[in-house]
Amino acid sequence: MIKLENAQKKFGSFTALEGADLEIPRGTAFGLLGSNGAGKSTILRMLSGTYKPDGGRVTIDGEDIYNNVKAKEKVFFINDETVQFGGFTLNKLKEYYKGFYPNFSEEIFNSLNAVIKLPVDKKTDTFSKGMKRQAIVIIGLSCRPDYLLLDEAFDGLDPTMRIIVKRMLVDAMIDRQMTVVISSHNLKEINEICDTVALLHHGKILFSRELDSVKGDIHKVQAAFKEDHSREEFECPQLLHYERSMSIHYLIMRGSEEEVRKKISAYNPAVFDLIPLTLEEIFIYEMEVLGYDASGIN
Amino acid sequence: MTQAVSTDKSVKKKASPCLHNGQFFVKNNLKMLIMNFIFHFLAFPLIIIMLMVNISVYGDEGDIEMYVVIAVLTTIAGVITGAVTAMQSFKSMYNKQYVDMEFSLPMTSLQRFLSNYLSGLFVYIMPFLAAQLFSLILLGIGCGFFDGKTFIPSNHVFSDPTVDVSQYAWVCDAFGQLFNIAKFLIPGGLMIMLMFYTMWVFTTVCCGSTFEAIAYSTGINALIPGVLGVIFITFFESAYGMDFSDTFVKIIGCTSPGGAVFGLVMAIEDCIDNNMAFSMLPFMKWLAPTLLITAAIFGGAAYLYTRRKAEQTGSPFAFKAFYHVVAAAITYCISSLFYYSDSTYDYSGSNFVPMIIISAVVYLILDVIANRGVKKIWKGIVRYAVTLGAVSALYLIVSGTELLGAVYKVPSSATVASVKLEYEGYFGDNNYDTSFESLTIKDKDNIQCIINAHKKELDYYKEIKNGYREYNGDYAVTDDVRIEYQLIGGGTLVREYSLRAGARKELMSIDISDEYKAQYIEYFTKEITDRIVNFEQNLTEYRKTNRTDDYYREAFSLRFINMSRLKKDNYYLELFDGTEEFGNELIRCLTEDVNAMTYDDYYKSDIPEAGYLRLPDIFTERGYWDSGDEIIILGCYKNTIDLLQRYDIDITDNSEGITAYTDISMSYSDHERLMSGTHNTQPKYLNNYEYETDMDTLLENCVYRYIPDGSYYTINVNGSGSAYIPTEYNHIAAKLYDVMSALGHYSY
Repeated sequence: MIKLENAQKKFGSFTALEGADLEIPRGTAFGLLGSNGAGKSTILRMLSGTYKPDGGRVTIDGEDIYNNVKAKEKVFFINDETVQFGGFTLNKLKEYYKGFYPNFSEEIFNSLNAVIKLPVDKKTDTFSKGMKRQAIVIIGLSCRPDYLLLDEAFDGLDPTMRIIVKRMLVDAMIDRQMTVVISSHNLKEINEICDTVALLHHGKILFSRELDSVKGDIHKVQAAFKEDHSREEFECPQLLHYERSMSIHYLIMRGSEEEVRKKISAYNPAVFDLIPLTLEEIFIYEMEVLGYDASGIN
Repeated sequence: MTQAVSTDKSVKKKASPCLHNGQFFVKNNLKMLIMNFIFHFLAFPLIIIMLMVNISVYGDEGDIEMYVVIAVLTTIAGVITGAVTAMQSFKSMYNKQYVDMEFSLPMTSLQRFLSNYLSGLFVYIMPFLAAQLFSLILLGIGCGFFDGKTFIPSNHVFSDPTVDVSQYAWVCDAFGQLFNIAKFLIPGGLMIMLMFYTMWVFTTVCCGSTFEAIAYSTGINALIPGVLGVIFITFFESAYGMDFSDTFVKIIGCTSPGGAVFGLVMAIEDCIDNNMAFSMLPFMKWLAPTLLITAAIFGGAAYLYTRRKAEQTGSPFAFKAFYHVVAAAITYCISSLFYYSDSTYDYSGSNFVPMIIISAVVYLILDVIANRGVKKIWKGIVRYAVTLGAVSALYLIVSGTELLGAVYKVPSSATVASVKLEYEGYFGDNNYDTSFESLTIKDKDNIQCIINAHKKELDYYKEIKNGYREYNGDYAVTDDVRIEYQLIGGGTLVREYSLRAGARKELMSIDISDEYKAQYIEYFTKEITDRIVNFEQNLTEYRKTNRTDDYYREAFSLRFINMSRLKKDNYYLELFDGTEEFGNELIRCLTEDVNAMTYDDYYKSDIPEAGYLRLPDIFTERGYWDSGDEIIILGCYKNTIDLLQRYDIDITDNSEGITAYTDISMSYSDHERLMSGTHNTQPKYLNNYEYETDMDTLLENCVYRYIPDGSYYTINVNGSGSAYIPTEYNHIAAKLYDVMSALGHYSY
């Protein structure tokens, strides 16, 4: 299990992570959501043992990860850069990581590359960005870590490859109870892979819940009323967003389906539809509440 | 696409990720490795090969200068690749792209450091070691096939058939000589490379960007000797009586790679100076501190690396203290040189403004670069002000208090265990060719005499400094003295002065003390034993060591001095090839004479020095093996003079009268007022009978060893060395001095 207990990280005067508490059970596909600079990559780097927490603890299976070889052998971190592998051929890259990860499996490497068909003897600086990404994902999975950390994992991958890589990840999770922690701005992918997500903003974890629970806790209401109502009448802590087009009111409300129905029914709607939100919409509306929106742009 | 479960046979536990990482670095940097091999193979091995070719083809060593130049250039290139290798090994210190890749690997930070350091070192050093191993093999071949064999240069063979070419024959010992040099150059070169690489790693670990890593790693190589040099010039060179030049040369020679090159050259020179026997001691004395300092730099780099955070890559200076130390050191160098320059002239403070301008510009440029812009320049200005204040205060306090009072420190006799004294005592006069220049004083009375002399000299200095005396010391006649107190606690205190007469007089009783005599006897006994009594035995050793019969020994000679020395240039009489019997007799007679010598014999003006017995030199075709010393023969050495006469060596006065000399100078000196002057003329200007008689009187009565109470005159004929005019002849000396002064031929 991955555990962050009051984890803090500062870069000079900038606080990248402020007292974060998080638990990621084994076998989970965990998504990290958040605005740019929210602290997602910082968490991943702390989990990979790259960053040392300035306060609190970051543990993997009960052991501090920083400077701990045993704990680090359980983790493989794929960051959002690919240029660092430029001097390596895929074979060399494999040999390199094989020396560090005792569970490295040639068989998995071969079987995965049989699907993707990357040239093993060409230097990876001749690869496209997507190919480099595929290469390091293959390597990461072949290392058979207990925890795979992916920062912007699907960047540069074409749609077909995205499907293939996702399949690979899911297979590894099923086969070996591998935990995947993904940070991505592509919420569609997070939505497809992850079962649990955490939302970060300005170095704080706003929530960390199962995706179903997140989705079940926020709703989009499309309604028309017999009488005229203004936004102010719907104003309540649960209202995240309000829009009106002619007689149709669009409301984004937090709460269970029952609670939302009850609230809207009180206004005697002529038309009332409860539409499920995508993860992307949830993200946008949650962030809007925090003042992170495009409203300032005309 | 379900992945295979862990039954894979290739799955195995790796022994050491540290080693694996290192191996990978080496494999990935094979090009650098090969390039280094080429550089180092074009150095020493090339010279040896060309030497072999020249001797084989042309019969002589020929012109290998061009190959030496190539070797120097390729060696420099090979050494400089250490910078590239260090930066390549530690690229995650300045290149963000590599941070995640390196830091997330299952290694501790110490393992990562060691792996990077050692793998880079391997790529850097292995080609050098391989090339030197190859050199040693070639030298072995050279020693076996060439050394000891006779060659005749081909140009003599073919140029003129009538010439007897055998006269040009030479016995090769080139490879043995090169081997002797290689004994120092190979480990020395290795040491310098190790230090260069380690220092570059240290600086790279301290820096956060490529620019910083390159600029500061380069700069630190100049800054270390630079700061030491400035400290030396501004503090120690002007500190009265404190000569740290040897210490500073040694410190500079082992504290930076550039300095270490200088240190190695000095050490090798010292090794060869020691009688061509290639003593390892001076080399080891250089190697040991250099190795220790390198180890300290390595330890520092490892310590900082393990405390360095991944996020510091890309930020200005991972360790700000490093930057502040560098900036402060540069400010210190600039400001103290200006302060020093000001104090050397008139203390007018005219250098203050230019010092502020130059140091501020340099500091703020560094600050702007380090802080990536001018946004917080005001902070830089504050930092500059604080830094300048601190370094100025340091300079002013240390120089104002004359090294915190160290200049005036005189130990009490109770705290001194012994004193190593180097001075122009009777037997160690610099005018003569002798190596008896230092003695160890343990007698408490003698130690007290030295302390008294030391205190008196400092009193003179204080009076001059406080303006109570007029300083005209440039022309004052003084004796150079080096005093090294060995303190009871184990420390040493070293001072060097040009003692004024008043202080020098305090040492007079040491000159004829028992412990001085005993050490002098020990000295000449060894010299005569080595060169005469045991000469054949020593020669056998020499032949064995140097694998050559090439030697000859100069005959004994006697340098006649007497009073005639004032009238003739150094006059040598060649004697004979001394026998063992003569050597033993000479030791016995000298020992008896020295022990019998009294205070009056020593300072009495009517007993002149009789001569100097020059011990034999031993030459080889390449120069001195060992040069002989001179042993003074006093007029009171009755036994020795008798011995020489038994061997038909007559010590007589060779005076040829005043017409034999061509140039006379007289000096006047008053130690109390520290006034002096010199006048020089030619005898033809003193052709008046009265002056000629007076001059003869002075020449007959002048003495070498004399420490006057008050003002005194010295006389020097033909530049052969000054002799003192005893006080009772001052009135004659004053008259002639005035005449010479009036003649106006050049005077100082």
